[in-house]
Amino acid sequence: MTDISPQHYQVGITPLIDSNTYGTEIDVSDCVVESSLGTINEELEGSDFEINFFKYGTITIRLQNQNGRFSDEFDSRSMFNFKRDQAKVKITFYDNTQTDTIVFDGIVNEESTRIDNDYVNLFIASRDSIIRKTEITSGLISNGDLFSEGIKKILNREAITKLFNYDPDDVTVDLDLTIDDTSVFDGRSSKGVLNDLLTASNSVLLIIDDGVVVKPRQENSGKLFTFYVNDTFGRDNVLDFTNISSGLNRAFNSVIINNSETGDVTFKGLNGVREIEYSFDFLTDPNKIAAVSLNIVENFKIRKREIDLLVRSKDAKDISKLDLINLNFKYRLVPYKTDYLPTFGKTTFGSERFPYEKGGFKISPKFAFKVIGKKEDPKTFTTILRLRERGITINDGGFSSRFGEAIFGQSIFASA
Amino acid sequence: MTITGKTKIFEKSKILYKDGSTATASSNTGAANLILDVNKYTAWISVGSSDGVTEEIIITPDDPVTIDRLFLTGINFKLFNVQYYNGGAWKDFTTVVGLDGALVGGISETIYNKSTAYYEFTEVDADMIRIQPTDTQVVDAEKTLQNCVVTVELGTMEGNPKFLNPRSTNNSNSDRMVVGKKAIQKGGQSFEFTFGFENYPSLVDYNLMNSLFNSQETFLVWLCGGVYLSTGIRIQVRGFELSDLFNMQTDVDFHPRFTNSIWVGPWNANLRFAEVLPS
Repeated sequence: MTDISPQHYQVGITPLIDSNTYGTEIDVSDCVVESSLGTINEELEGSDFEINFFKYGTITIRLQNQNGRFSDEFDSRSMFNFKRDQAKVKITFYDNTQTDTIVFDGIVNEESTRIDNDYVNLFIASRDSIIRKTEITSGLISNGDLFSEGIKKILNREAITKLFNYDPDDVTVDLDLTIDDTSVFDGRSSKGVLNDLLTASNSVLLIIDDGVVVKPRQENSGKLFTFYVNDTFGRDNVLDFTNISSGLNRAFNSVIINNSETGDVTFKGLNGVREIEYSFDFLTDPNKIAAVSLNIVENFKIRKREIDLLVRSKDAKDISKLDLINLNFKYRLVPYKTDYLPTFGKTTFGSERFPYEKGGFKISPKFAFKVIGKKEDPKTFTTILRLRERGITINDGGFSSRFGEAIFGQSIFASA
Repeated sequence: MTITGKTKIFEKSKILYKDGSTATASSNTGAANLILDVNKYTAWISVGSSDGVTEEIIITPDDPVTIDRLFLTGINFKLFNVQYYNGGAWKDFTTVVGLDGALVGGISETIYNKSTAYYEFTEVDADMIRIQPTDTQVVDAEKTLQNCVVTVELGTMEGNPKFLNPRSTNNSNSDRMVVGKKAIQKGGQSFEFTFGFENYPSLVDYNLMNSLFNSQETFLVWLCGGVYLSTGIRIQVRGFELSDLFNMQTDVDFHPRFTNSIWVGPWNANLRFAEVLPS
């Protein structure tokens, strides 16, 4: 047998040595109370009936601190010589082959960190939480700047770029209009302003390979992951699936911005009025307000199925938000009074019976889903992937036509 | 190599479709890959075959495999042979021992009458495996092969531990309905059992159990160890049939305790095994 190592997690802390410079990462796994390593949560959307475009993840870890190693900077024994707040914390998952994957990359949030006798409960927010702590200063964003330009100006500041790689080419938005009144941004938290601009432009913020990326909500290209249920070849890799919804919880056919409504009459009639409201004081032009509303309606008026998959963390470690997922969920087949299932090419029509089909739910592999959330539990080495069917129209939820799965009436036969 | 009727443990099959192996057949080739799956309800069945017609099934692993054991389950072959491809030519296995004793001239049967075949042979490196059935146990029947497993033996137990808490489950859901009767929905089947070692002398078996407990990979358990009918097993219960080759993992902790002393005393422990998907 191959000598394979057990899967495990490693926790590393990198303290600040001055206001803008980080030191060397230190492995502190030996000091972390195992039961304290809670779920690591990343989401694009919020709970039902919400569309969130920017929501950072958090986790709390409990460290043994009898030697004062994790006390704040006022304890001479502490590893945090400069300050404990904003120290980097990285949680890495090692699978059976010792391949490592960073599952959480955050910074210490001092205001929520607590001391508990000989323990420190370190509250860690994902690195993009630094955006919450920075302020929009007067004049940072100018009237007439495009949404994308405003986002770039928010991100391209030292407080943020010390934690992330920033490249203006990594900022693209779905809808790019000019901002009318930037004075409403002055003094606000960057998170709030960024959220407004991302919402108005129908875009999302992601951290990819240490870089901050803003992009439209479409799924990533180039990667495809497949999950199986009741696979005859034993490729089953789903522990459980729950919270299957029709997607109506996140379907909105009426958007109100600054008390002005835009909606889709057809889908209001079909699903009832499903309304969401925003206040974007930075937009005063009614045409722009209508364009932003219409874009949100067009992207969210169609309900798209959502499902939570419980999988092993080693099967989910390479999956990122907005990656494309193929679900091959079959019914379990049991032969009717024979030893074996009928097989194409052998079984004679009219002489053998169809097998029993068992199972309350199946999904055809022709439908494509994208990842909108990940919740990893280090204690059980499992991850919940929250999936939403791709696309924004009734017919674009599947993969492009391929042999055996072409959609009748839509796919076109290839011609010479 | 010996078939003693003691439980045998093997590495998981080295020719699983899920790991990249494929199969083709001279007839009904579309169903050939089913012999590499983990589903007992699927099988390759020839089309238009009869006695005297030699079918050919060729299995190609993702990479060449090193093997010393081979299983064929769900077969109705009477006359058949199995060879391996060594990169240059099709070769016979050597020093072959089957369920009925030693064979001469590789894996080659002429009057086989069981539905499971098992062979031990000198270790080889195989690029491909070829199975050639010619006659069936019922004259002129279509040839059937449910599964082919090739592997390496991890060990044969020396002793006979207690066989405790065997559990075959249908994973069924049972609800009492409004009408007063129960509705039972049967799910997928699985098998579990516990080995109980009581004042057990064999250190070979202790080392084998320890290695299984440490193993991160799944392994195959063949409880009957190749013994069928009533030879060696008083009752061939579920789990002890020739075809019962389970992909398993240890399920709970391993707590060996030593009678009198660790230096000279026999050991005591329970180790639970549960059927799993191969990984």
